[in-house]
Amino acid sequence: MPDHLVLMPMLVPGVGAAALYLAGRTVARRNAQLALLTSLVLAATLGAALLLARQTSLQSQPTWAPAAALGNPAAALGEPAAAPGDPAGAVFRAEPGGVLLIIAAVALGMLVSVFSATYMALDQRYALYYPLLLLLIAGMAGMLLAADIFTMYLFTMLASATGYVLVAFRRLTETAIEAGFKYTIMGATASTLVLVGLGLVYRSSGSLGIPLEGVLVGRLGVLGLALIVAGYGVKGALVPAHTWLPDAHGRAPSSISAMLSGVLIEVNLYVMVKAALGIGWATRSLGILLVVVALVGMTLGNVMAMRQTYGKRLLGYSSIAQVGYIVMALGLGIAYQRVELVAAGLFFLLAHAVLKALAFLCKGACHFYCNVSLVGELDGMMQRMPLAASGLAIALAGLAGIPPLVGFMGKWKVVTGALLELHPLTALALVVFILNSLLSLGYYLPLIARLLKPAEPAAAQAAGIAVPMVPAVEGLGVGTELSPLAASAAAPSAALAEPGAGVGGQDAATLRVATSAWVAAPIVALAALALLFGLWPSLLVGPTVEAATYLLSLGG
Amino acid sequence: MGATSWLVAAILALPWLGALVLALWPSDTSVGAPERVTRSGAPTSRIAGSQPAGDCAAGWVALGAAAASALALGALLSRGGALDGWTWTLGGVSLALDAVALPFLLTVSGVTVVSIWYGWGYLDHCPRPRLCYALVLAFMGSMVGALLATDVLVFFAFWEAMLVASSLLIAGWGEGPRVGPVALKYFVYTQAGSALVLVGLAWLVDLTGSLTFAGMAAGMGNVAPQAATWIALLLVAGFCVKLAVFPVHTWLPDAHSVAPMPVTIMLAGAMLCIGCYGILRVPVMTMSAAGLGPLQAPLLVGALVTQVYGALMCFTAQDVKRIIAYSSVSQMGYVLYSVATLNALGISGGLLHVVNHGALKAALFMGVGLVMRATGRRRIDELGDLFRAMPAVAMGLSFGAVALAGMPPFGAFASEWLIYEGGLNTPYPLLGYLELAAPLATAAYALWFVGRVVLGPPAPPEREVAATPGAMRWSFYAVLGAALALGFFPGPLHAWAGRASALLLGGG
Amino acid sequence: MLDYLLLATLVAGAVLLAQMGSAHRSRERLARGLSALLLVPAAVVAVWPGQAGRPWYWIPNTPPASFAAAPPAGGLVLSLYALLAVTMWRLIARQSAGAWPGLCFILCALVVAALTVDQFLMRYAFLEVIALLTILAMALESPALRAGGGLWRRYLQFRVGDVGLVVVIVVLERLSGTLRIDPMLAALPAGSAAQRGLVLGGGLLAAWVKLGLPPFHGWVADLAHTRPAVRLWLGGLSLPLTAAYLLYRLSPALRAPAAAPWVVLAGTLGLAYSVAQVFRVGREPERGRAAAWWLAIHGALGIALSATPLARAYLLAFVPVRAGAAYLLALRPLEVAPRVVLAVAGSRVPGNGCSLEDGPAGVSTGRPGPGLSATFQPLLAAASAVEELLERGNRWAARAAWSAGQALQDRHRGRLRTNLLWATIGLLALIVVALASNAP
Repeated sequence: MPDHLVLMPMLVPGVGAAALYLAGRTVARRNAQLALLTSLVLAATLGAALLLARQTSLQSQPTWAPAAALGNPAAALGEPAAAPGDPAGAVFRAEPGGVLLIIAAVALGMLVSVFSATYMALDQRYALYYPLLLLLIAGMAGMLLAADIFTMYLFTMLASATGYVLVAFRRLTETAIEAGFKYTIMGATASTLVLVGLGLVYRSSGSLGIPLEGVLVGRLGVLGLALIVAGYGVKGALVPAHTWLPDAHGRAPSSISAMLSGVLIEVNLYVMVKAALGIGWATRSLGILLVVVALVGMTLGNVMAMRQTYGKRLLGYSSIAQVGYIVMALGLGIAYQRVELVAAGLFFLLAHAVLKALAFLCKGACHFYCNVSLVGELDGMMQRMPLAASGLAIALAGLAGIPPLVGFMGKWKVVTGALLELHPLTALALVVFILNSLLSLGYYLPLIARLLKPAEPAAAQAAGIAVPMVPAVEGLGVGTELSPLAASAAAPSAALAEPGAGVGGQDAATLRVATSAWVAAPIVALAALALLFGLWPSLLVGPTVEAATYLLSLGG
Repeated sequence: MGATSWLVAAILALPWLGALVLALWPSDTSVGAPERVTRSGAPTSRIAGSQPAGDCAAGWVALGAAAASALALGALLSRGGALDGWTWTLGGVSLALDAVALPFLLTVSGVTVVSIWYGWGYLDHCPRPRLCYALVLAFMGSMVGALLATDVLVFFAFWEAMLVASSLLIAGWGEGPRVGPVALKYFVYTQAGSALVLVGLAWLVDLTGSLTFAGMAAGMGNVAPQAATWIALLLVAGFCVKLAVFPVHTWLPDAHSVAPMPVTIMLAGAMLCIGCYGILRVPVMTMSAAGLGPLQAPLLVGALVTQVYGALMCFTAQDVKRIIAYSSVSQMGYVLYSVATLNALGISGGLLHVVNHGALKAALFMGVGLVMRATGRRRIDELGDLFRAMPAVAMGLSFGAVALAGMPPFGAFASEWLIYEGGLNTPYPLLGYLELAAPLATAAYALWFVGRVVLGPPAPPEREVAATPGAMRWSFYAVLGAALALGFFPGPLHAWAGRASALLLGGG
Repeated sequence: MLDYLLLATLVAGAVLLAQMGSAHRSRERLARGLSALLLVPAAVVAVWPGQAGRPWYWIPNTPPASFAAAPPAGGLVLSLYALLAVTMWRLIARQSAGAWPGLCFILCALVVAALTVDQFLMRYAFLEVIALLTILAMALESPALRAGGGLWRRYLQFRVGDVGLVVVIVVLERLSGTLRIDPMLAALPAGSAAQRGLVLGGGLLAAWVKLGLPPFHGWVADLAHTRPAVRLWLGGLSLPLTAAYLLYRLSPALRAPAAAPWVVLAGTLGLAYSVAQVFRVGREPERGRAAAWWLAIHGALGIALSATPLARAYLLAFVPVRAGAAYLLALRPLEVAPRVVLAVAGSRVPGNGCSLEDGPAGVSTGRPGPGLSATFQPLLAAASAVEELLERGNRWAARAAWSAGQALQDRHRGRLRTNLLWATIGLLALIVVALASNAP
C-alpha cells in the first residue's frame, strides 16, 4: 500500500502555491489575506508532517514509489520493474531526520508568513511572494524526503531557484539585485557540480539511491561523490564557499533571511551529509573533513562578524559561525560513530533555526518600524520597541550560549558529547569551539548593550551611526569609516521602508512604537520556543537521537 | 512537603518575584498611555526622565523583596533542627540548602539588603531606577539560585544569570567613559572561566553519568584519578576567574571601579565568593578533597601571590574605589588559601572569612561612596583630613579598613586566625609561615589608605563637603555594626562553618 | 573579682568618653579622679591571691579564658592602678583633658587584661587593641601627628611585631595542643630546635617592636608631641610593659644555653646603637625626641637581661623606671644629660641635625600620599609592571581579534569576483580531499 502521506509535505504547499497565486491575482489582493491563507496552507502541511512523523521511525519508514502508485511508468521506459512495496523503486522516503527538519521548516514558514502580514505590507507583489515562500518550503520538503539523489537534485533546484528570486525580491534596490545575482551564480555553479557528480556516481555504480544499492567503482565515481558534496557545501555555506551568504541573508527581506538562515542552509547540509554517507564516503575521513571545515568556518565567521556595521550582515556571519558549530558536532559524531554527537549537532541545528529566525524577525521589525539597519542605530531600541528588542536580545544571548536558552543546551550537548571521545581531534575541536564561543561574545554583547542603552535624540544618534560596536579595549580606533557595502546598505532602508507606524519627526528616536500583533505573535512564539527548549531539552532529545541513529546507520 | 521546604523555595523565589514586578511595572511612558507633561512643558514622554514617586516605591519593593528573602532564610534558621537537608522538590528540579551554602547565602542576603538600602540614597538620580532595581534583584536571585542548586545545569544557568545581570548593571548604569569596554571585558573574562567550568562539569557528567551533585559524588568511583585531576584543574581554574586570582584578576578592578556603588558592593561583597563556593561544591565536596592533592601546592602559592600582589596594587591605584577593589583581589587570596589548605580549620576559617569580608568590604565601599558623594572627588591625592570634615564616616572607614587587616574584635580576626592555623596543618608548613606575614601587607595598605584619606593633610583646594543622603549613612553604620557583632558573637557562625567543613571533607 | 575590676574600669572609661566635653571642667576632673581613686582599693581586693576567675568564651573551638593575677602580674596591676589615680589627679589637672581620660581608663583595663589573661589568643587580641588605641590616642592628642600621615607606618610596625607573636602562638599551640599560656610555655622545651628558634625569635621580635628599639623607635619618638601623662602611659605603661612581661615569661627559655648568647648579643647591639644615637642627637633642637633613645636604651637593657636571672628584677623595676623617666621628661632635664654623658665619655660626636627618622626619606613624588619608603618603591614598580603586562595581554588579544576582522573585511568586501575565486578554490580543495580520502 503506497503511502500518499509522504507526498503531502510537498504537495500541499506546492498546490497551495498555485492556488494562492491565482487568488492573489483575483480575489485576495490584500497582503494580510494572503498571509493568512499561506499560514493556513502551512498549518495543513504541518499537520501532515506531524502525522508523517508519527508513522516514521527507525524501523518503519513510509515510502512512496511511482511503481506502486501509478502502475509502474518505469516499465514503459523499458526498465526492469520493481516489485510493489520494494524500497528500491521508491522515489520518496520519510526518515526521522528529514521529517524533523520538515516540521521545523514548515513551522518556521508559518511564523514567517504571519510575520509577513505586516512586514511585507509596503511591498507590492504579494501574489508572488507567498507562492514563492510556499514553493521554497515544498522544495525543502522534497529534498528531505527524496529517496535518491536525482530527486533530491530536482527539489534542490526548486528550493534554490525560489531562494534566488526571494533574495532579490526587492528588485528596485541595487544591493538586493547584486546579492541575488551572486547567490544565483554560485548556487547555479553548485547545482551544475551536483548534476555532474550524480551523473558520475550513476555511471560508476548504476544506482542513485540513498543508500546506494550498488558499490561505487573507480575514481570517477569518487569524483562524482566529491562534486556532490562540494555542490551542497556551497549551498550550505561551508567555508570557503560561504561568501554569498552574508550578502544574500543581509539583503533579502528579513522574513526570507529567517527562512534561509534558519532552515535552508541547514537542510542543504543535512542532505549533503545524508548523500555522502549514503553513497559511501568513509565515515572517518568525511568526519575529519567536516570538522576541519567547520573549525575554520566558525573562526572566520566570528572574526568577520565582529567588524560588521550592517546588522543583518552581522547575523549572516554569525550564521556561518553557527553552521560551523553544527557541522563540527556532526563531523565529530560521524568520525567517531557517536550518536550523542550527531544528535547534539541536530539539536544545535534546531536551536539555531529558532534563534536565528527570531533574530532576523526582530531585526526586520526594527527595520520596518524604526528604519534601523545599521548596528549603530540600534541604540535604545529597548525603549522604542521593547518587544522586538527583547526578542533580539534573547536571540543574541541564545546564540552566545547563555543559559537557560536553547543555545546553551546545544553547547552543553556538544561539549558533553565531545568529551565522550577523548582524541586529539576532539580536544582540538573543543578548544577551538570554546575559544570561538568566547570570541563571539565580542559582537553579541555589544549589540545587546546597544539595545539596552538609553535612547538618544535623533540628531545625536545620527552622529553615532558611523561608530561601529564599542571595541573591547580602550585605545583601539573607534571611528572607522563605513565599508562601501555598508554605506550602500543604508539605501534600501531609506528608499523602501518609509516610516511605518508611529515614527514622526526628530523626537521619533526616543518615542515608543506600537507593534502590530502580526509582528508580535511570531516573535513571542519563537522566544517562548527558545526558552522552552532550553528548559526542557528532553522534548527534542528523542527525535534528534533517532535521526542521528538513522544518519549513522547510513554510513554502515 | 512541609513549611520548611517552601521556605527554601521562598528564599529563591522572592527576589525573582520582586524583579519581575519591577520589570513589568506599568510604565507611563508608552504611546498609548496619556502623555505626561514634563516640567519644561513639552508634552513628549521622555523615557529617560525619572519619576520620584515611582522610584521611591520601586526602592521599597526592591528592599522588601530582598529583605523578605533574607527573612525567609532567618525563619528557616530559627526553626533549628538539622542544619542541612532542607530541600524543596518540584518536578525534576530540587533546591537544597546545606551548611556549605549557608555562609554564602547569609552573605548574599545581607549584602544585597544593605546595598539596596544604600542604593536608595546613591541611586537617587539614576535613569530607569526600576529596571536597575529589578536587575539588582535578579542578580541576587541568581546568586541565591546558584547556591541552592542541586543540579549541574541549574547551577550553571544561575551562574550565568549572575554574570548577565551584573554585566547589564555595569553596562547600563556604570560610571565613567569606559563603561562599554569594561562591561565587555568583565563578561568575556568571566565567560572564559565559565567555559572552563562548563567543560569540567560536562566531563564529570559524562564520567559519572549523573547531573546532580549527589549523584556525581556517588558515581565518582567510575572516574580515573588522572581524569579527576584534570577535571579538578579545569574547574578550579574556571572558578578562580570569578574569584579574581592573580593573573586572571584584571577584570575586577575595572568592573568594580566602573559599576555603580550598590552593584560594586554586591560584586565585591557577595559575588566574588561564589567562586569559592564553586570550588568547595564541586572539586572539594562532590569529587574529593584528596583529589585536589596535586593541585594544593600551586593553589597555595597562587593564593599567597594574590594576597601580596593585590595589596601591592592597592598602593599604585589612584582611584579610591579602585584601591578597595584591589583589596578584594588580596582578600580573595585569603579565601582561596583557606580552601587550598584542604583541612577543617582552614576551610571553616575561609567560610567565616567570606561572611566577614562581605560585611567589611560592603562597609568600605559604602564609606568610600559616602566620601565620593560628599566631596565629589575620587582620586586619593585629592582627598585628605576627612576626620575633620566628616568625623563619623571617617571613623567608620578607618575601623573598616583596620578590621580588614585582622583587627580584633572584628570578626575577620578570628577567621584569619583559623586560616593561618589551617595553613600550618598542610603538608607545606613553609607556605603556612609565609602566610603569617601576609596580613602585614593587608595592614600596610589599609593603614596607608586610612592615614592618607582620613588623617592625612587636607587636599589642596579646600572645599565644603556636601550633605549625604541618610540612607547611605545609616546603611553604612548598620553594616559596621553588623561586622562588629560578627566579631563579638561568632558562635553560631562557627558552628555552621564547622559543620560545613565536616560535610566538605567527608566527615559529615 | 578581677573580671569585675576590668569591667568597672571599662565602664568608667566609656562613661568618661560619653561625658566628654559636656560637664564642667572641674567636675569632670573630680569624676575621673574619684573613680580612679576608688579603683585602687578595688584593685587591691581583685589581685588578692587565691581567687579563681570565671571562664569567658569567645571564639568557639578555643579554650575559655580567665583572668587571674599571678605574683608579678599582681604587683604590676596594682602599680598601674596607682599610676592611673596619680595621672588622673595630677599630671593633666590644669589642661583641657579631651578624650584622653576615658581612653586612659580603657587602656589601663586592656593592659591589665593582657597581663592577667591566661589564654594566648585573647592576649594577642588585647595587645592588638592596645596598639590601635596607642595610635588613636596619638592621633587625637596631636594634630601634627595626624597631619604628618606617618601614624599608619607606626601601626604597621606594631603589626610586624604581631607577626612575631603570632608565630609564637602558632608554634606553641601546635606543640602543646592548647591555647592556655602556662601549658603552652611549659611545652616549649619539648619542641625541636627549629620550633624553639621560631618561638624565641618571634617573641624577641614582638618585644623589640613594642619596646621601641631601633628601627622601630619612631613611635616612641612621636610621643614627644604628646602631653606628659599620655607619654607616660603610651611610652611606659602600655605596650612596653606588655613586652617586658612577655620577656619575663619567656626568660626561662631564653636562658637556655643555646639561646642566651644570641639574646644577650642582640640586646647589647641594641643598647650600643641606642647609646650611640643618644650621642648623635645630643644637639637635636627638639629635645623631646631624644627621649626615645633613652627609652630604647632601657628597652635594650631589658632584652639583654631577659637571658639572665635578672629578668624578674627588670620587670619589677620597669614601671618605676618608666614613670620616673616620664616625670623627668616632664621636668625637661634632658638637655643636660647628653652633655654629662659626653663629658664622661670624653668624646664629642657632632650632631648633624638630621631627623630621627633615619632610613630612606618618604618618597612622595609621583605617588599619592607621603611616606612610601624608597625600599618599597621598586616593589610597587614591579607590581605595576606586571599589571601593565597583563593588561597589555588583554589588549593584545582583543586587538588581534578586532584587527583580524578588519583585515579580512578589507580583503573581502563581498565582490562577486573575489567570491567566485574563493568558491572555486574551495570546491577544488574539497574535490581533492575527497579524491584523496576515498581513493580505492
